[in-house]
Amino acid sequence: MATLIQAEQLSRYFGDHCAVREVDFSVARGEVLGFLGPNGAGQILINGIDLLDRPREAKSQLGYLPDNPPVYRELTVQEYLEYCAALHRIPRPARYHAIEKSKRRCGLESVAGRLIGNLSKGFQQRIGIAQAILHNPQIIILDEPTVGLDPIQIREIRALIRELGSEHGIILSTHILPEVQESCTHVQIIDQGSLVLKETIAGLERHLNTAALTIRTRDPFDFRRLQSLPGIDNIEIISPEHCRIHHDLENNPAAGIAETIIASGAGLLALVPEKKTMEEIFLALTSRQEAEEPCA
Amino acid sequence: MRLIFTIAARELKTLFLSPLAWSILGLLQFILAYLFLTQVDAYAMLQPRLAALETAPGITDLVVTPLYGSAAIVLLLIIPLLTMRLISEERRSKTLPLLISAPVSNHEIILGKYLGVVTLLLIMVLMISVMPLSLLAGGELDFGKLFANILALTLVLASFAAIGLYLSCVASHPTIAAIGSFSALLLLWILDWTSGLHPGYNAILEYLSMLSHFQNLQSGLIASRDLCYFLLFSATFLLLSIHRLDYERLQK
Amino acid sequence: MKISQRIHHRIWLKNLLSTVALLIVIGLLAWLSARYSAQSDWTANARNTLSEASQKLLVTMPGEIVITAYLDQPALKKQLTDLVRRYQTGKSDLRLVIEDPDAHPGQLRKLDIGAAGAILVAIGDAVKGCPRSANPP
Repeated sequence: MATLIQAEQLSRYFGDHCAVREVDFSVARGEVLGFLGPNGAGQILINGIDLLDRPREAKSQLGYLPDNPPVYRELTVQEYLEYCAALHRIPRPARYHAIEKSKRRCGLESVAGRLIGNLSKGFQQRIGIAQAILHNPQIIILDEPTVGLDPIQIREIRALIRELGSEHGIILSTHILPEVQESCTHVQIIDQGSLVLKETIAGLERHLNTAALTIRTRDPFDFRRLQSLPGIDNIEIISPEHCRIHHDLENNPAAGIAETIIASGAGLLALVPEKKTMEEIFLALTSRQEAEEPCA
Repeated sequence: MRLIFTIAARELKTLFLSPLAWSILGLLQFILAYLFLTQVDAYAMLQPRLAALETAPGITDLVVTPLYGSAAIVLLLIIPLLTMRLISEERRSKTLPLLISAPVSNHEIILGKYLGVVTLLLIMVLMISVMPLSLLAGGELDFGKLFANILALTLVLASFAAIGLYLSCVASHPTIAAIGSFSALLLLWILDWTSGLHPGYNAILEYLSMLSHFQNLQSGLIASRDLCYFLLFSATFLLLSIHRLDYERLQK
Repeated sequence: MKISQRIHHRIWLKNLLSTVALLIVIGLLAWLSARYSAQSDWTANARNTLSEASQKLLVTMPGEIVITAYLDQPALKKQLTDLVRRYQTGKSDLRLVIEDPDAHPGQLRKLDIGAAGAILVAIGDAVKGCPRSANPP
């Protein structure tokens, strides 16, 4: 798969504070790369074009949505998109089609004639995305696209991101961990300027699995009877109907546990593999960094 | 090149979508019309006495030149309000990233914004010029001098706009940009009021002062040094603005 | 192009130097434009320009002409400068010197110049004074 964007030794300083230190990353078509933590700029190659040496060509391959949608409140949606189309040097005959397509994808057809300032935050966010995909860029950079939206809007935007991800390379910067789980194919976590995790979402799921099961029953049940099953390390009894079992990673005893409890007639209510939340992973990864020296 | 016009058109549209441009145009026309009428009135009173003189100043000298002089001073107060938003408002409402991430170069952004404001200023100059032309109904005008006045006002307004644009690039807040450009303009306007300085310094201050160049052009004597002054002045601040955006882009 | 801390510093320096260079070039152009200036008179009957007769007379006058004015009002200085400039375009070795009367009290007493000031025209060695009356017409 062709690499669309490649960044090497990216560093970003705010005064003496280092926000990003020598981070490398790349994105290919059909990938959605989630960035957790701050973002910055250094050497960036877009489709093999250097952003600093040939900014104009590189930027025409790039769609960008900053954390606040860059909309002019006094223009209508249609006027705004026409202006953006002109800015992105879309040739005049192709402009109408590009705007229509972009409006359709972001669900803006019904509000095209309205002033942007009178629309809700959710719509403004979608206008921002419409602007970023207008010129059909290879790379779309979205900076915290779901901040300040209600849950329905968040779901819509995430669905849109997933849909866009099939055709474009997307870099998603966010601090909301479930968003990464839901929308991304790859994830990178940055803490204090350094990359602490670089994984696919499947790899991340593996990080999320712990060797623990939570069991609930309808009637009281003597959980110590399960001790004899293969693979069980430790049983933690919380109440007569509730316990947590730690087991061997390679040897999952869930099937055996279920059979035993059902055979006893105690009524199995729940048998749930415990998962670490993204927050716990994030904390585990970032606290590990703390011992190292802070960047200069 | 076409992008400059795109940006200028949007800038002009924004100006006319807000009440700002309309109210300024209305207010300016009202104030200047009042001044114009008082000048015409004064001329009518003086006319019998002037008729006796051999080389009497005509209506162009007594009405038109003061009108354009007042227009320059009134616009010195108004232009900072028009230019303050140009860049700093985009920065504040976070729309600058749109321009920066688009394949648009900095000189196109600056020239587009400048062209937008200068277009509005040209509309103002046109509206002001209608007043002296109305005098043709009852008398004759020295057209050469009238054109010299129009040229002088256009050049001086273009310079005002350039310095306002630069300060809007530098300032973090539109109000600061307005105050900054207003003080800078006022200082440049009154710069040659000093006297008793060393003659060497005096010559430099006199050259920098806008007022003397403006009045030289107004007198109808079009000297290349005065034209060059205004062109260099605008060019300097436009180049500095482009520089400033370049610098900022590398920082971000 | 890769951006490192050093290149960043170099770009900053380059930016500063190019700004300084820009200002120097602008200053130079301003000086040149003030030094070599051409002008055209747009007014009806060319009121800002000397009549042909005056111009011819001016050319025939030999030697340097120095006009010394003892004036302290800025408005008058401006008027005089504008007036003299018309003559300067016809004769390049005509100089205008404006002195502050307060700075030369001895000279004023010697030349018997009152509080209103005076304008002295020196053609070669001959000096002709025209003291300003207290109430200008």
